Parts: sequence; C-alpha cells; structure tokens
Amino acid sequence: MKTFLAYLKKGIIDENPVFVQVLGMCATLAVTTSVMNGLGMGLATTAVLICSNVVISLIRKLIPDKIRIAAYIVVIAGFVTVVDLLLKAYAESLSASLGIFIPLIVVNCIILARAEAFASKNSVGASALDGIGMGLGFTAALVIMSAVRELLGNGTLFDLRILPEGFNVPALILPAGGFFTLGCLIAAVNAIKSKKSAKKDEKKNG
Amino acid sequence: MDEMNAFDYQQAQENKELLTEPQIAQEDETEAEVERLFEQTLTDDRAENKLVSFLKSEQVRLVYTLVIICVAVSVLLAGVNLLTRDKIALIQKEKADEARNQVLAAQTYEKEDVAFKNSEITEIYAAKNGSEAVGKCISVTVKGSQDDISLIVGITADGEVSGVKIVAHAETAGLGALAVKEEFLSQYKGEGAFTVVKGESAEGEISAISGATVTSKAVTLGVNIALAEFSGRSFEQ
Amino acid sequence: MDFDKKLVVSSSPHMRSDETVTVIMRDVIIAMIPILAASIFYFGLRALLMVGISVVSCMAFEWAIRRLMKKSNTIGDLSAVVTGMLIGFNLPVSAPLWMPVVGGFIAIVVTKQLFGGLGRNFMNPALVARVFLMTWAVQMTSFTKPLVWMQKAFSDNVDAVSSATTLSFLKEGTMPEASVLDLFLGNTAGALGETCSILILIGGAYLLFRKVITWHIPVAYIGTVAVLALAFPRTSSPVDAVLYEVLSGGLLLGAIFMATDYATSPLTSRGKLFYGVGCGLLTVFIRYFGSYAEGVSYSILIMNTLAWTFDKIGRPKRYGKGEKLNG
Repeated sequence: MKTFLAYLKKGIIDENPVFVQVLGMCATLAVTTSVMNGLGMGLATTAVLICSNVVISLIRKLIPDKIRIAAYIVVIAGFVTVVDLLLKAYAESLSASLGIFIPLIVVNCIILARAEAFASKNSVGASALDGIGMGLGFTAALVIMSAVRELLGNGTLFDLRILPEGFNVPALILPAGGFFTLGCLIAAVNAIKSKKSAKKDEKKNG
Repeated sequence: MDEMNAFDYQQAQENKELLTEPQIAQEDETEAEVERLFEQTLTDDRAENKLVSFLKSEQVRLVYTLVIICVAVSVLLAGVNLLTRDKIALIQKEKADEARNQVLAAQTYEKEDVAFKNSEITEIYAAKNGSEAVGKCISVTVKGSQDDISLIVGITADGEVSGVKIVAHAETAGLGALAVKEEFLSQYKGEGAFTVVKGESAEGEISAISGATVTSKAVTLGVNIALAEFSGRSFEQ
Repeated sequence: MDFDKKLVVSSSPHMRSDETVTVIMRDVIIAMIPILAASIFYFGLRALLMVGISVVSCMAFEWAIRRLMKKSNTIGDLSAVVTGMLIGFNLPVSAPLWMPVVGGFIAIVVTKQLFGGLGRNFMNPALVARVFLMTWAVQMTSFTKPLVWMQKAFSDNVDAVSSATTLSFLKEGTMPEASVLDLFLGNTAGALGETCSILILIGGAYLLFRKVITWHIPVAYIGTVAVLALAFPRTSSPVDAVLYEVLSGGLLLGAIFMATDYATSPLTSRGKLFYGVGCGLLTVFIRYFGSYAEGVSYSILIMNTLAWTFDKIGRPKRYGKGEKLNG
C-alpha cells in the first residue's frame, strides 16, 4: 500500500507529466476546452499507459536494444487503436468531441517516455503502478486546466451553466488562451514548489 | 616421417623396427583416409555452424522480434475489431439518420446512387414514410470564410426547404460560428432561391449575421445549390 | 529613479539633453490630443469616457503591479497614459466599458510589466490588448456611424446606427460609402482614433518636428501599402484605391504611433526601412487574402517579433574598416 501511495504522489505531484515534466503538451492544449473532454482524454491515456507499461515490462528482456523504439510504438499504437474502437462503440459522443486527438495518443510523449525510462527497466508490478501514477497525474492536470478554461472561458462546467451569460472570456477557449492558462498554472506550481523547498531548507538549517 | 641419423637407422634395421615398403605405403594410405574423413566432418560442422550462427545473428533476431510483436498486436486488434465492428456501424448510421431527421422528419432514409448535377453535392438520401416519398435530404459542401462548410438541406416533395443543419465548419467563434444556431438557420424555410440582405429581411431573404457576411452567403449558396439539385438542374449564379 | 539626489559620474562626451522618458511621452500625448478631440466630436462624450477609463485603468494597473512586484513606482513617466490612450483609440465607441479595463490589464500587466517594464516589452502593449479583445468579436466589430449622437440629441428619427467600415466594403469588392474627403476628415465609421486622418497626420508631423520619431518607419510602411494598392487596386481606379487603402482602417494611426514604439522597432535607419516595408507587405496580404478586414494590428505584432533581425541589417560601418568586416 505504501508503495502504491508513493507512486501516486510521484505521478500526481512530484513529477507531474504536464506541470513538471512538461510532456504531452499537444493533448493538453487542444482538448482542455471542457472538463468532460479533459477527463475523458486523461482516462483514455491512463488506460493506454497502464497497458503499454505492463506489456513492455513483460517483454523487456526479449526486445533487442536497436529496435526498442519501434517495438514500443507498435505496442502503444495497438492499445490506442483498441481504446479508439472501444470509445467509438461505447462512448460515441466523447469520441466525436475528442476527434483526432484519440489517435494522437500514440505520439503522446508521456507514454513513450515512461516506456523508455521506466517500463523497460523495471518489473511488471512497478511498471503498472508507475502507469497508474503518471496517468492519474496527467488526468488531474487536464481536469484542472479544463476546469479553468471552461469556467472562465465559457461560463460552464460539465456543460452546466455556472456563470451568467456573457460573463466569460472567450479568449480562453481559443488556442491562445490555452497557452495563457498553461503558463499561469506552471508558474503557480513552480511558485508553490520553490516555497516548499525554501521551507525545507529553513528546517534543515534553522 | 621422422628423420633418422645414419647410426639410428642401422640400429633400427637390426631391431627390425623399420617398416617395409609395402607397410609404409599402407600406412600412408590409412593416414590419408583418416585425414580425408576428418576434413569431411570439419566441413559438415562448419556448414551447420554457419546456418545456426546466421539464425542467431543480430539482424535476423531484430527482424523476427518485430515480426512476432506485430503479429501479436494484429491478432489483438483483429479480435477487438470483430467485437466492435457491428456496433460502430450501427451507431454511425443512427447518428446520420438523426441528423437527417432534424431537417426532414421521416421513418426511413435510403441513399440515392445517382450522378449529381452539381459538383458541390456529396450525398442525397430519399426520405420515406413507408413507401410514400416525403422528400430528400441533400448534403452540400461549400467554401466558407475559413474552410469548407458541410450542410444537410431537407427538401419536401413539393420542393420546399424544411430545414438546414450545419454538419462541419471551421468558422470563427463568435462570428461565422453563429451560423449553426437555430436563429439563423430557421430562416431557410419555404421555396425559391434565397438571397442575403443586411438588416431586416422579407420572405425568401436571409438576414446576414452581423460581421459574418461571407459565412451567411456561403450557407445560402449551399441551400440554393441543394434546391437546384432537387429540381434536377445545375445551379447558376 | 532619484537622479537628482545622487552624484552622477560619467565619461565624455558630456552633452546634456532635455529628453527624458516623461518629455517624450508628453509629446506623444500632445500629438494625440487633437485625435481625441475629433473622436469626441464624431462619436460623442462616450468616446471621452472610454479613453478616460482606459487611461485610468492603465495607470492603476501599473501602480498596482509594480507594488506587487516590489519595484519602484513608474506611473510618473506617463507611458501608461500613452498606452491607455492608444487602447482607447483602438476600440469602437459602442464597446462595453469593461473592455478598456481588460485591455489595460493585458497591456500593462501581461505585456509590459511581467516582461520587465518600460522598454523591455517584446510586442506593442496596446496592440496585444486590442488583439486579445478581438476575441469578443461581436463587440469589437460593431462600428457606429459618425455624428449619430448629434442626430440623436437634436431629433427623434435617427438613421441606422451601425455601419460597415470602408475596409469591409473593400473586402467584399463594393465601393465604399464614404468618400475620400470623408476619410480625410474622419466622417466615417471606425474605431475611436482611426478615423480622422488629417489630425493623425498633423500629430505625426509634430512628433517628427520634436524628433520623437524618425520618418523611416511611417514612410516605409505607408509607402509600401500605397505602392501595392496602386499596383493591385481593389476599386475601379488605381488612384482612388491608393487613397482608400491608405486612409481607411488603422493604417495611419498604426504607422505613426504604434509601429514606431522604441522597444519593439529596430534601432538602425536601414533596419527601420525594412521593418516598415515588412509591416506594409503583411498588412496588404491580410487585407487582401486574409479573413479579417483589417491587417494593421497583426502585421505590426508579427514584425515586432522580428524587429531584432532588422537591427543586423542596418549596422553602421566601423570607422576605418570596410563593409565586409562588420560581421
């Protein structure tokens, strides 16, 4: 249980793929226009991440070094296609609103990075936990971004009107607004982190 | 053959240790045969090693590892595809039928496989209530202010527009994108070609969206082309 | 900065000049006051309200963000006033009153102070604010006819209030409603500071006289647009086309007051010429082929990001060395 929590903390806070590692930017900026989309994309990516981590960890000793990237991509693409077909069959509206960004999960840097940096060097259990942690961290980041963008940019949350009509900043829904929001969130995360590490240093020295 | 000095030779001769000529010849023969057999086994071994070492070599290993992975993934995908194929086709058909239902209500829609008189037409579906023809749903694609606009126009059997729905567009949010709203599209009702005007509009005229004249004209053009196609004509400006 | 209290030690040459940032900004404000007067004349007192709110919010944001960042108070240098006036000039009179406030925030806090304050912005703050406000597309593109407020004040039956601008007519390929004389005098629909061409030109002449700006950027910019309009006219006669293209939209205001901003334009004269030509080319491209009717703001912003490359073009020759050794 302890290790499970440790992996969660690593993925969601310490090494958050979006706010700390700055990976997976394409998906982050494009689909976070509504919380439904952000949540759906995050969960889809998490599913692919867990499956690909497990499989790559299983066969890690059998893949020769020279073709490892090609092998990883084939495995990841396979799982993304499975997720795509399942979404088209059982969650059509989500598939339609995410559109081309579901197939683009294949080139989401997070999945390839975790395969290369972790799954190819660690056991199946650890890789699965790492996939869960990183995937949930990605999902959390997407949900936060899309909450800000949808609420302030559209006045709605989960398509329910929260702010009165006309009280929104439409720029936030547009791509420029995505960069704005991401920049502000990364700045906020960095500010919190540096304050925390300053406090830690104080405790050590003082 | 070992070389002997003269003294040892004499000694060997006396001790009868030397071989006679025929004996030497036979020994040579056996030795040659042994060598021949040994050479043969060596070649056989080498041939076997070559094949095995080739198979164990890196290039081949790379190839068949990838092949195995690809085959395994393909099997998985084929399985999932088999499971979901029918459901997906059903959902797509329902979605398309629902879009058509919004512009022209009917029980069934059948695709018409004919040559289109206008190049902008993409599909025509005949709407039917049982065997009675209700009208046609015509899909058009026109050039908007940013990119193409795809719309479905529902036309009753009398040649009157019953509804218009925009299926795909890339117009600016807040300006051209307002064309998808009912307030704008509900203007397209009735027969006859439509014209775009600014401000208040009469019958058969369309009030352009403020600040989005190009979009308004594009949608109107699409509807007019659909009407022309319905009457079997080629649309002229 | 307390220059008066410290002993300033510097090396030769010891030449003193009256130029400080405040003096320069004051000159720009003086050049813009006639334009403000014209906007009040054509669009009513609401114009004054808009520009006033813009200036006040710019100054307030600058004071507030400098305090928050624990830096010195710089509203005395009047640069916030200039930015506020320019933001106001870029808005239509019918825009809601919170727009200049939001614009002020984007211009002062985001574009100027977060990047290091006066002189360190990499894009023109007023234009970034305008482009950001363009996302409220409907409010930013509803232009009122000039002098309607006068009609409203004196009689009850008023003609249609909103109108299309000259540029939107040109985009559709029809003859604009306003005549060239109208465009000169400002009797046309448009943003607050864009319409009265003659007063903008007079303001520009004043700035040239006071040596606040040099002729290179405005002449290169307006000249390029004029030449392209002559070669590829959008109306019937080329001469008409030149006058229409130059006098409509925000071209004069942009070329004289906004493209010449020191922080975002090249330093060398040759660089300025290239920069002006680049702005002109982009403006014409956006006007002719883009989906917006007006291209001035976007072209100036794009050229802002390229200004540093033009500095390399116009580097002065080192005394005694040939041209090749400049590097």
